[in-house]
Formats: sequence, C-alpha cells, structure tokens
Amino acid sequence: MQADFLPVLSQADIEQAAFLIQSAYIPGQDVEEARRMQQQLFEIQKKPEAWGLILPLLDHPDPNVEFFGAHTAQVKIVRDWYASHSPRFQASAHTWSIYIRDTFPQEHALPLVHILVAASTRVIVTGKSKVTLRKLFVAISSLALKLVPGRPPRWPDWILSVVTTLSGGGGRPEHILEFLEIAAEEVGSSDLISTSKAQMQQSLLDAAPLVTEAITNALLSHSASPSERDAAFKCLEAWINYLRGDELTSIIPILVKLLSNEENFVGASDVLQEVLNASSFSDGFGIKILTEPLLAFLETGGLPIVQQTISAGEVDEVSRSLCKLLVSLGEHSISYIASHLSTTRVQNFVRMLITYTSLPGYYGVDEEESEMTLSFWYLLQEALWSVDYGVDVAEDALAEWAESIQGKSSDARPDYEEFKAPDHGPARPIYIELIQVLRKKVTWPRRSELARWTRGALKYRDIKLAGESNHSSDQIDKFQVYRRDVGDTLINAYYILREELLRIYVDELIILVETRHPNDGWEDVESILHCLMSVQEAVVVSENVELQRLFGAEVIGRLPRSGQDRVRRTALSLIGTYATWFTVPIDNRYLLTCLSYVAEALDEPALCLSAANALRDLCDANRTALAQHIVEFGQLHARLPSIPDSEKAKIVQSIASVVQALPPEQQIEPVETIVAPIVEKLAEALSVKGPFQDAARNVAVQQLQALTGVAKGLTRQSDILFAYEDEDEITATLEKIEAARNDSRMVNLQDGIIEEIRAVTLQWSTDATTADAMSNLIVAITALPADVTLLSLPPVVLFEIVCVAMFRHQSAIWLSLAAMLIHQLDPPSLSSLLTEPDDRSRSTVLMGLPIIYDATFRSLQEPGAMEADSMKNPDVVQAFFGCMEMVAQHFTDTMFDMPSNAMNDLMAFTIRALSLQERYSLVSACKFLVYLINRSLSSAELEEKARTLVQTRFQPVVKSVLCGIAGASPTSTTQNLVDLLLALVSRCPNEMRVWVPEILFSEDFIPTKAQREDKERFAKAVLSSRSTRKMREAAQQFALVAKGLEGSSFGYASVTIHILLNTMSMASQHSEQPTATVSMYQTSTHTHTASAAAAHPNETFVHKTSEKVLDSATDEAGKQAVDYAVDNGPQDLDDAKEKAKGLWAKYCGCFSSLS
Amino acid sequence: MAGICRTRLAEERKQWRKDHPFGFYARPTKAADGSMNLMEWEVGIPGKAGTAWEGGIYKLTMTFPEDYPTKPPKCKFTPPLFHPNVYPSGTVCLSILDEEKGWKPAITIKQILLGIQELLTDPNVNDPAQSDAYTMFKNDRVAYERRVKQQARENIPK
Repeated sequence: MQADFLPVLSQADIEQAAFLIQSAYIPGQDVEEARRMQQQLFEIQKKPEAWGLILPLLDHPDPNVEFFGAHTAQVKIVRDWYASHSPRFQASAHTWSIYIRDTFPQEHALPLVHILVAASTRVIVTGKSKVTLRKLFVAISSLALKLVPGRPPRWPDWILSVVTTLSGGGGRPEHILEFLEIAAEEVGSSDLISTSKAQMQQSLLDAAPLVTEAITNALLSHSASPSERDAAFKCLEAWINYLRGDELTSIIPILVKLLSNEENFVGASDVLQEVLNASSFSDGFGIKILTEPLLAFLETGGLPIVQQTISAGEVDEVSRSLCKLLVSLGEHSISYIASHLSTTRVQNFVRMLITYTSLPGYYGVDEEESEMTLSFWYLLQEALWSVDYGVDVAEDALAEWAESIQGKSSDARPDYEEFKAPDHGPARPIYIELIQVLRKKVTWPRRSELARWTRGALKYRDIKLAGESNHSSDQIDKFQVYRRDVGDTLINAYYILREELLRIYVDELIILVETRHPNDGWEDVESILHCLMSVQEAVVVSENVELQRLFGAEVIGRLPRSGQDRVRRTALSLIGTYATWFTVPIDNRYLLTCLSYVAEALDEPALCLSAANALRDLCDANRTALAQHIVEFGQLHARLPSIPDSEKAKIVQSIASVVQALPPEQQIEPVETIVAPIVEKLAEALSVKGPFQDAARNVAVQQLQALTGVAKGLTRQSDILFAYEDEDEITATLEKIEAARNDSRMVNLQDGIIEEIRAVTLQWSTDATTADAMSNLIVAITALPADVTLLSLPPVVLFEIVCVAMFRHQSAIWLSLAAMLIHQLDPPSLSSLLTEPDDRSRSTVLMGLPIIYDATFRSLQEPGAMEADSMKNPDVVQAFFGCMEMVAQHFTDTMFDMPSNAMNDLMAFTIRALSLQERYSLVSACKFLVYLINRSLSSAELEEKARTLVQTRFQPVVKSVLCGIAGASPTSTTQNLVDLLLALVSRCPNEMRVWVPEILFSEDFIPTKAQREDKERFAKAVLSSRSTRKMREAAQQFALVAKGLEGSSFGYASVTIHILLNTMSMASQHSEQPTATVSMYQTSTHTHTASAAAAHPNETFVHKTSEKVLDSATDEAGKQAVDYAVDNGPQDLDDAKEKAKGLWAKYCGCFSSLS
Repeated sequence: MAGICRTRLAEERKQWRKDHPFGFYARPTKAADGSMNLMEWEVGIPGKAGTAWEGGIYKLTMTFPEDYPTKPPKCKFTPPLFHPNVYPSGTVCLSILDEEKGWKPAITIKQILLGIQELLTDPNVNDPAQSDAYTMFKNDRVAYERRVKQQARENIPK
C-alpha cells in the first residue's frame, strides 16, 4: 500500500522516539522521570509529523513501541482530524510542513483506512501483540466515525470492507469478532451529533446479519477455540442493542445451551445478563424464549454450582456469574416469578437466591455477592403487591404447600385489623427464612475478629467504640452500609410478614438473653435489635404484644447496663426510634423501663449521644404520660453535672418537655429549678475577665444552648388551637399560662434571662458562635400569643437587644431576627382578624429603624460591598429587604415618621440594590417596594406623604424596572419586576403615564432588540389596560421581544412558566382562604392561557402543535394553584415550627427569596 | 405526562440499583399498606470524607412533580440543615434544581445527589438561603467548621 502521503521521518527521529517510548515504559523507574518522558511523547504526538511515526513504530520489534504506533494513529485521528474540505486542507505530501497544523489532507483519508487495515493484517499474520491489534481496531473505528457520517458517506459498508480485508489477509474468526466488538463499542460511546450518530448506528444495523452469522458460527462450531468463543460472547454483548428480535431469538437458545458447559458458563451468562438487562427483551419480555428456558436450566444446571459454592466455602468466578444471572433474571422476570411462586421451578430459583443472600462469612470481608441479591427481595414484595391471586384451586395448593413448609396451619396467622394485605401465602415462608438469614448476616463479628478488618478512608471518629479505636475501616464502613441496606430489605419483608416478623425476632431474642452464658458475646442480640429498629417506620402505632415483650422486663430488662457499648447503643437507638409507640395507652411500665435504661447511659461518653437523643424523643412524644413522674425527672436533673456538656441542652430540653405537660401553675417550680442555675452560670461566665474570657465565652454559649433547649421543650407539641375542643378551654388555658407567667418567680427568671442576654450581646455578640447561639435562643424563646410558654420573652425587649447587636456589628442574623420580631410585635389576634399594633410596639419599631438603617448602610457603603462575587454581603442585602418588607407590611407609618433624610437614604439604597444584576438583591428589593407602595398609597393617612415620595424618588425605580424587564436583569427576576411595575401602574397611574414613555424612548435606555413600535405597544398596553392580566402579558411579551426571544419555543415556554408562576404567586397571597382561592384561580388560569394563545394567532407553535400543550399547561396551572393554595399555608407553618414555635415570621422574611 | 414521569422514575430506580455511589441510599417511600410511592423518595447523602461533613448521613426527601422530568424534583433536608444554601424549611437551593437556572431533564437522581453532596462542602455564595449558616460561613470559617462537625455528629447513622 502506498503511504507516500504520510510524512517521512529520518531514521534518527524514529529511533529517538522509540528510545523515549522504551524509557518511559521501564518498570520500576522513578515516577517523576516517567511522567516527564510521557509528557515529551505527548508533545511529539501533537506534532503534524507524528503521522509519519505510525508505520515505522508499528514495525518495531519492541511490543511497547509497536503499541505506541497504533496509539499514535488513534490519537491523531481523534484529536488532529479536521473534516473541512477547504483549500487550506488540500495539502500534498510535499507541503506538510507548510500547511498542516493539526489537520489531515482529506483526499488521503481512504488510503489511510487501507494502510491501517493492512497494518492490522500484518500484526495478525506475524502474531504480534494483541493489544496493538485492538488499538488498531479502535483507530479504524475512530476513522469510520469521521468518514461514515455525511451524504454521501465517504466509507460505505465500512464493516463489511474491513471484515473482508481481514479475512482475506489471514485473520481468524476471533480477530474478526474482536474487530466487530470494538466497532460497536466505539460507535456506542461516541459523542457525535444525533444525525451522525444515527447514520453510524444504521451502518451497524446494516451489518447485523453478518455479525449474527459470525457469532452463531463461533458459538456452534465444535472446533472453535475457547478464545474464539470468548470473542464471540464479547462481540455479542457489544451488539445486543443492534440485533433485531429474530436475530436475538436465534442466538438465545444457543446461549442457554452453552451454560451447561463450565468452560462457557461465564461468557454465556454475561451475555444473557446483558440480554435480560439491556436488550429489546428486557423488562419482562420473552417469557418463552428467556424466562422459562433459563428457569429450566437453573433447576438442573444452577443447583450443582450453588452446592459446590457451599461445600467449597467460597464463591468462584462461575458461582459469581451464576449469582449475577439469578439477580438479572429475577429483576427481568419478577412479575412472572411473583405469579408462579408456588411452582417448584420458581421455588428452586428463589432458593438459590436465598443461598446467595445467606452466603457464609461477612459481607465486604469474606464475600462480595450477598448484597447484590437484596434488590430481588424488595422487587418481589412489590411485584406480589400487584399480583391478583384471586380465589382458585391454585390458592388452595399454595396454602397447603405453605403449611407443609411452616409446619402449621397458615390460618394461625395473626389477624391484622388495620391492613388486610392480600394473601401472600407462598411468599411467607420465603420471607420468614429471609429475615432469619439476614439477621445472621448483619451480626457483627467478635472483637478479636473485628480487629483484623482493614483500615479505610472513612473515619467515624465520634462513634468509635471503647477499645476499638483503630477499627475505622473500609470493611467496617462497607459492613455498616450493608447493614443499612439489609434494614431496607427488612421493611419489605415486614409488609409481607407484619407481626410475625416481630414475633420471630422477639422469640429469638428472648431465647438468647435467657440462655446466654456470662462469657457469651452480645453480637446476636445486637443484630436482632438492629433488625427490629430497621422496620420501625412500617410498624403501626397500636397495641402490640411483641413490642410489649421487647420493651418489657423480658428483653430490655435483661440487656447489659455497663460496658458492651455496641449492643447498648443499638438498644438506645431502638428505644428512641420507637418513641411514639409508647404513646399507645397501655401500661406505663414499658415506657418507664425504657426510660430508666436510657437514663443510666447518659453519663457515659461513648453512649451519651444515643442516650440523650433517645431521652429527648421519648420525653417529647410521651410528655403527658411522663408528667406524673416529674419527681424522677428532678433526680435526673440533679445528675446533670455528670453528663457530658455536649448533651446537657438535650437533657434539659427533655425534662422541660415533660414539665410542659403539667398544669401551668405546677410548671413554675420545676422551670425555676431548671432555669435558675443556667442563668446563674451565665452570669458567672460574664463576670470573668482577663485571659480566661475565651473559656468563659464557651461556658456562656453552652448556657445559651441549654436555655434554648428549655425553651424548645416548653413549647407545646401541637398548636393550642388543635389541642382543645372549644374556645373557652383555649382561653382558660391561656389565662392560666398568663397567670403563671406573672408569678414573681417567673417574672424574676424572665428578667434574669433578659439581663444576661443583654450582657452577652454587649460582650460577645460579634463572635460567630455566640451570635449563632443567641439567634437560636431568641427564635426559641419568643412566641406568638397562641404558643406562649412560661419562659417566653416579649418581642419588644428582644427587638431592642437585636438592635444593640446590629449597632455593634451588622449581620444577616440580626436582620432576620428583627424581621421575625417585627412580625411578633403585630401578632395575629386569636379573636379578631382586624388588629392594630399597640403604641409600645410602634414606638419600639420607630426607635429601632434608625439603627437598622444606619448599621446596614454603614456596613455596605464600600463599593462592591453588596455584590456576591466578592463574597461580601448578599445575605445582608437580602435580609435587610426581608426586614423592610416586614416593616412595610406591619408598621408602614413608621417609615414615614422618620426624618426625611432617612427615607431618602433608604430609597437611594433600594435603587442601588435594583441596579445590581444579582437575583437576591433584585427580588428582595422588588418585594419590599411592592409592599411599600400598596400599603402606603392605600392608606388615607399616608397617601399624601407616599405620593410625594413616589414623585420625588421613584423615577429611577421605574427606570431600573423597565431596563430590567428589557434584559438588564436575569430572566428569572422578570416576574418580580413585573409585580413592581403593576403595583406602580395601579397606584401611581399619572406619574407612570409620564415616566414610562420618557424612559422607554430616552437615549440612555439600554440597547435592546425592541423596535419603537414594540415599545409603543408595550407602553400602551401597560398604561391603558384596565386588566392586570393584560398588563402582565404585555410585559412578558415585551421582555421576550427585547431579548430577541420572540417566536422561539423558549420564549413560549417562558410565557407559560411565568403565567404558571403568576397564578401560583397570586394564589399564595390568598392562601389564608384556600377554598375560595382554589376556584377563583383555576378559572383565571384558564383565561390567562387562552388569552396567551389568542395574543399570537399566527404562531404555528400555538396553533399547530400546542393545543394539547396549552391544555395541559392550563390544567397544570390550575392544579398547581390548587396545590399551592392548599399546601402553602400549612407548609409555612410546619417550616416555622421546625426550630421553635413562633418562628414563622422569620421564615416569612426568608421565604421572600424563594420565588 | 404522568406516564413519562413514572416510567422515568422506574428507570432511575433501576439505574440506581445497578450503580450508585458508596454510602448513599435512595428509595421510594411506602404507604402503610406496603405499596410504593414513586413520586417521593427518601435519600441519604453521606458527608464527604476528609471534610467537616464526614461521618454524617444527611436525610433528604425528594418530591417529584407530575411533570418531572420537565420540572425538577424538590429536595428538602429533614430535619433542616445548617448550611448557607439550605432554606430554613430544609429546601435545597441549587442551580441544577431550579427550572429557571440549571435544571435539565437529562439530569439523573445520582447526579442530583452527588451535586448536593458537593454543595455541602462547597457552598454557593451567590445564593444565600439561611442567614445563620451564611453569616457564620462568611465571618468565621473555623467556627463554621466546628458547627458543621457538631451537626455531622448528630447525623451519624444509627
């Protein structure tokens, strides 16, 4: 083959390259040196002359050098190819050095194909390195990816041509099969554009008959060598997706047959797995061709492999492959298996799987296979749920069969009142066996064995067990993850077995604890406790005999109470996990037994975390039942000094939650007992001066956390409105709380807390950890009237404290707290919807506002201080406007009562925020202004002042809004800008009539794609329309036109999205009346969408293709409006309650950034 | 619409079963009768090794809208997490979960979870979602790391 179009290099250059390659591949040489040489080789390969290296290197006797020749061919084709036919690339062999910069002369492309195929033939004939041959096949396939796409293809029938040449040049079937395998893989992994990829795929589909024939011949030939058959398996695996159904159908029986031969088992099994998982037969297709023949084979051919595995005690390659085949078949044919579970064949199949699930040894240490079977068990449960057994003869047979396995009548099953699951008779014995083997599999080894497990990367420092400090290991991590996965599988088993699962475990547990000898380990007990803990989420909170046995003296009463950290930790977590079950009105002794077990572990450093969490969960869920034992909690409180600091806050929270269940007047004494020492310690810490101040500050933070814990504990679990049946009871309870709050002891305590918080603010509020602790405390210790506790502090005082903190150092924390407290200063009344804030609240806000302004503007006065990129203060900007939104909403008048320069400063700052191209800044500023405009201009008292403000300060606001809509701001903020525009047009129509055209047509309006007529249309629609909807649509349309998106599918998608958002946003504003809102906005959504369509009568998008889209958009908009209106109110409430009651005002501020 | 959503979620589940990053878990929730709800998943994201998040597995609920994958799932930490880009409600603020920013229907559950794991250790300063964590992250990185470690301790798997 003529190769004179490739550059010709001197012998010296070739030898130099070969030397470098050989040097780079010397085993054991210095890593740095090898890297340096590889870099040099890389540089050489980049040069155009490297094309000239390919053939000389392929002829080199050293296999490394030879491989590098093939590698260079592939690299040059992939990286340095350029498919252009421009004159620049019409280079001849003589002009390489002049023209070629990372390109290849295209007229030589096909000759290059022939050279590479010929080189492959030479490698085959001379018996040279197989790796080089494979690399050449990769290079040839890469070349096909360059030459086949396009019309007409420059290399039609490329597969056939290569196969023919190889075959004619002495290539054996295995070489042909290898080429075919690589061709399919390279096409599959290529990242061509879709049309080119489709063309490549078609070239494979065209070659499929040839490939099927080659594979079939290799698989059926008695004379085929093992390597030829392997090549056929691998080739088939690569071609699965390119073979037609009839081609696959002809091959599958051959594969199943080949499973019988141990030599072929792995290859055939691998391909069958691929057929089951990824071919046109995946997901349950091909029962007759795949499922049934495979089940039949496994019955005879699979069992011996399983038996061999058990007797040998290890999983060899064949056995591993069988396990994978079982799992793949199980997944593929799960519906078939579920509906044929009673047949012997399927039973045998399931039995094999259970054998793999229960492989001897520890997962991750002794074996790696058991885990892959876990998915089968949950898939089976899910499939059983969709099988309709019906009543027939088969069912009787199943019941009989189940009885024979279980050794008793299946009628003996417990009767479940809550859930009468379908009769899964045949599944029950399987799952009974499964839960027992899984229990064994999750059992930890004895300590001596655990010591041998390897060290890994993950370190669970905090859960290291006493005496196990060096066991943080890869294997331990893997085993822990496995235990959790088994836990998930057990949940599925629980849905089948229900109480029987608990009975089996508890029976075994009792036998174990009753029969154990002093030197026996606790590992088995621990594993059962772990299994019981894992299924908790599925167990219904109701009377339950098995749980009574578990949490009574029979089990918990016999567990160790010292040492044995692992089993105790699991027991503690188990108790905490089942905390809500103890609310079932049965004998209190189960709760008390567990509580005592938990309390004993509290002062042990290795267990205190689990114990404190369990205590908190138990006390929180069972506060009423525990309130009668308040004396015991006094004793627990006395033990506080011996409990590690990290858990003290949880302990006092637990005790406080029980105290909360007492009548208010009886809460006084315990609250004082708990809180007074904390306040005292806080005072002590504050009095420390000099070098010990840091330690004192840590002590103070702990006391703040403890106070937070108490405040959280004292907050009732459910809203008082739901706790009592009638209003009188609510009023009576609130009065009792108020009376208790006014008790001198409580008053003193509240005053003491206020004094200390004030002192902490003055001393340490600039410290990040202290500020965080204070924030959590303030959130927890203040409440709306309905949630008030004995300890709740008035928002007036806390607002003043927060203002002091701001004065010292402004931060988003204080601003968010201020927003929350401003809302609390104007709380919703329990009796009336119309309330006015009192004078004290108003004067508090009026006094605080100058501090908020001053602190914020001062902290953000530097240029760039508001921008996010410099990691400055986006949080402060956002939180400031959240706070201003709250002021505008509740205390609008105070903003106008400030000196005029204050309002000027605020407006200047707001305009600055609007000019920032940052979402956080724009959105929050817009929301504030919408409130400000709507609240002030709708108030008779404020209208005059507000009108003056608008006239003097709002022209730049309007300019920012219009420029923003026209493209100066991110698209995701358009909705908020339009909201502000609408508020301005509806409240200030006269001013807007002047400003809008003035700004739109001014020379310094931002450059856009909008023409004069577009601007006129927009201005007219905005200013003259009486319909909010039309104004909104006009603004959205203008935004698209200005950005040049009109007519694009993106543009229409945006319109639809904005209409949806708009609907949702309006619905949310009315979410307090969900029922009325639902119907109203469903209707309006239809109108919006219909109108959006009507606005573009000529658009094919709308008319030709999108009627359905619009319909579904309409439906969706309606649905989302409904969902949002219904869900959003409770959602806000839930969110608010997550930290403490009374928090939701803070979240209102934070949510302002959500939309 | 719903058909596409459920088919895609079934496929996501299959892919997750075949291959998921170590230490993560993700499974559809179940109703009390044992039937599966593909539209809501419970997932666990482990903190990256070698970071202050290490050791904890952070629980998250993924709620898929009916028009998934056209629209992204809502991801919410339960309980809410101390992190600059997690709203006080627990909802994660991440560009790939925002249909107006980086969401693409091709993004898989695995990619979302890996993205959130990445976000844990590498917050986005452009998207403040809660003031407590953002302020501490900005002002005192040592205190922030300490607070995150305490949180990791509270989230150690049982």
